[in-house]
Amino acid sequence: MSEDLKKAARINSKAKEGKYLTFVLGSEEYGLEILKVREIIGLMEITSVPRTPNYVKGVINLRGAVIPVVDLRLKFGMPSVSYTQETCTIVVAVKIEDEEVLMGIIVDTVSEVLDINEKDIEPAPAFGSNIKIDYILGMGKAKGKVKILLNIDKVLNEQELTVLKDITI
Amino acid sequence: MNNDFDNIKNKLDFIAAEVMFLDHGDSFDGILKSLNELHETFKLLAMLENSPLIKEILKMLENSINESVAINELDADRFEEKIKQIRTIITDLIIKINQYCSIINKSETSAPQEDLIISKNKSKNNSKPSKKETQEIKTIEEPSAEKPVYDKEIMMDFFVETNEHLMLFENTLMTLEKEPANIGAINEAFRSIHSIKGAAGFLNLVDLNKLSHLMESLLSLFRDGITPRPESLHLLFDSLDMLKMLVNIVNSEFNDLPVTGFDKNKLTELFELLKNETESVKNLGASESISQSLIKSRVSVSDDIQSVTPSQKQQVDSIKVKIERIDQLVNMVGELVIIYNQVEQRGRQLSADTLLNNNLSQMKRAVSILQELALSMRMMPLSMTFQKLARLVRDFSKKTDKQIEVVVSGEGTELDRNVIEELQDPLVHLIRNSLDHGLEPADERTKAGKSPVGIIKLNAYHQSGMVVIELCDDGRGLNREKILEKAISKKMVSPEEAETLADEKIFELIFAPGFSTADKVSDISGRGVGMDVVKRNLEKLRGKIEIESSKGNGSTFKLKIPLTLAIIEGMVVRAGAEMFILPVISIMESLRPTKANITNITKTKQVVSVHDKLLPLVKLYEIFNLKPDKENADEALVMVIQSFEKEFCIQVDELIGQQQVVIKSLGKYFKELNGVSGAAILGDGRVGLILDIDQLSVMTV
Repeated sequence: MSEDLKKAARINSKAKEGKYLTFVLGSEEYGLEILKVREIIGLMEITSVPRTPNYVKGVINLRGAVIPVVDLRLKFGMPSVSYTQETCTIVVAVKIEDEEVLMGIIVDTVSEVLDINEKDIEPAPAFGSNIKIDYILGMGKAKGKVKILLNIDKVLNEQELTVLKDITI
Repeated sequence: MNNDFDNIKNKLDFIAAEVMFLDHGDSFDGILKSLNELHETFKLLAMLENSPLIKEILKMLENSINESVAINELDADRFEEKIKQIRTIITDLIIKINQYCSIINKSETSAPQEDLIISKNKSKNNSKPSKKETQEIKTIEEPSAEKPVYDKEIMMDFFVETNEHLMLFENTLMTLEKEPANIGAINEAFRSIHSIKGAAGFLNLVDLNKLSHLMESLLSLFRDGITPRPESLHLLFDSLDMLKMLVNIVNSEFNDLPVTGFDKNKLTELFELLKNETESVKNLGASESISQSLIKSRVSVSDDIQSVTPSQKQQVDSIKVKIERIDQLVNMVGELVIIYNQVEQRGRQLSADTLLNNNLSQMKRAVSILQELALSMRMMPLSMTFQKLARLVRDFSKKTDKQIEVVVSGEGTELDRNVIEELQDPLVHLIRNSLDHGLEPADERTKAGKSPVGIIKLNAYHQSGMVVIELCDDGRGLNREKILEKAISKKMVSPEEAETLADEKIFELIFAPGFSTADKVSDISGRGVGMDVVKRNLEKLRGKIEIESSKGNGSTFKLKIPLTLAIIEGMVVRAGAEMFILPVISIMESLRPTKANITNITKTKQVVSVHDKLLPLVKLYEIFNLKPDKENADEALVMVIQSFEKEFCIQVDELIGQQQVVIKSLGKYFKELNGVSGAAILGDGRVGLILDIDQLSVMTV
């Protein structure tokens, strides 16, 4: 990346080095700050909740607590696919209006926990001033591939996130 | 300095992350390196500053280094133990260092806190703008006014205890207003202020200490036999409010929150007033006889006056428990109930296993009792709330030309803590309405043949599984005609309907948003935003409000709230592939209507004839977009439901069965949801949505 681009995009750079849980959606790999991940479970029976956006699949019973579940593909405007053996729900702790809540996100596959160093993190690419991408913490490089590091708080708080599907690396 | 702190914070983050994910066999070197670096940093800081906090941090660092060094030699089991210990040590270390950093940050940009700096002369003589004064004040600090550097435990205890003392003191003051010669109350008041003074002194809270000291001097005169005069009590009330404010300030500062609304001048004024009053009272001495002061004050009518000693007794047979522990306990019991239901269901399937089922029924009893006990732990008496309301009335009465007495009974009635919190605002609003609009000024009352002193009665009691809170005044009562007038002008009812409406229905109109018949809008009521909030808050608690009123005689507001919030008897029904839960108490009956009973109003709206009544029909599958077994009502099941507002019918596919369900909130994510009030875990582990009857009833219109 050129120095100018780096400088221009510096405002968006918020990714810290550390451990990230990586997962797959379609052809892209994403990463979540490990401290936000509570647990990873297989697919459970979801009770659909009416009159919610299509990406809100419903709620599940997590050991007595009722938590909402979001299909991340649909949230990002990607086409939905049928769930397989590999499909997982990642339970994350996010801040919604200053309160910490547990939510589940459905992903295609969960990969691994990666330790990403500061030098391997690039600020999120700038697409121009009108498109907000503060839900990307940065781009992490590991094992020869680039993972999109997500700010999960922003992802689950924002309504429209279709920009993400247009990112090509 | 700031760079250092970023450095320190970075190292801390790194250590924390490393320690969290360390496995047996991983290298500890990174952590040790950072710990040692921190150690060096703080050793330097210790040389510059002689702070006990830094010394503590140094000790903790040394401790953590020692523990970590040998860890790699341990086998897997010992390692697990050790790493847990280290994690705790590191967590405490982080807290301490963060505390240190925030203190340092604060002192570099600090504003005057509780230091007594502004002298009287400055404010009297200088006509210059005060901005310059505050600039100078920053540098002139009294040496003894150190910022409290105490840890969380001590401060939490301080706040809890001081607030208790303040509450008690307020209570005692109100008693003294009615009975100035009450020696017990005087002693109690003195003790409360004395305790506050002591604690404030210990923690170096200068203003708090000085204010309570001055109050104590005044109170000691009363303790020595002089009867408090109204001016003294009034001043003590104002001082009490200032004490509350000062405690709040200490709290805000301790939690790094901004401080607003504090007027330093008011504080100094108060000091002066207290000193002067103490002088005056001393000079007046015993010149005022006790009988005179008794006549001046008004003795309350009720038998149930909260006297001082019972509350003291209550404190002895109870212990203080952290609220979060109780919440945890209640949650776990909730989980237990859920899992029990699941096991019970399985037991029913294995009905042949009698031993299992015997055990299960024994268990059911134990789980039930445990549930009741757990929920009862969060119960608190209404006395504090009533006291707050009584104080409100007293202050209002002093400010205006209305004489008002408060009579309180049943204040020992208990409610869940959270419910009490939700009720604060509605109750305050209702009282303000009574004060502003209900109760008339003294002369108007005498003209109407009533006693010039208006009475507000607060009462609470249990009645068939509900707690009833009554708020009643003997004022003007609700003006039926005016309400109708307003409703008609707002097009809420037509003039014809108005003729036929019963009194209760008319009174219920005041709950509509924006409704107010007040001619004058005061700063606290009349804008029409209060009553609908009252209603909404009550509905949140699944409660309701009833109004009785008669012109010229007064009004009574009855708030009814169910006792157990978290558990309801639910009827599980199925519509399509989804399960829903209806509160059993709202179900009147269920039936399979015939074609003849069903009438189409419009293409999409139908009514069902039940016992010669035509009730609107809500098809669950339509509202929730499901595929039902049968679409037509005469082929499906219809339940007759009674909601707060009205009766209507719900069409479902199947009735599954009755179950006690634990209500789980759906959380902020679903706060906009219409028709669903919460979720519950069913016997088979699935989540069922609890239907909001009142919202559903509106969906029929």
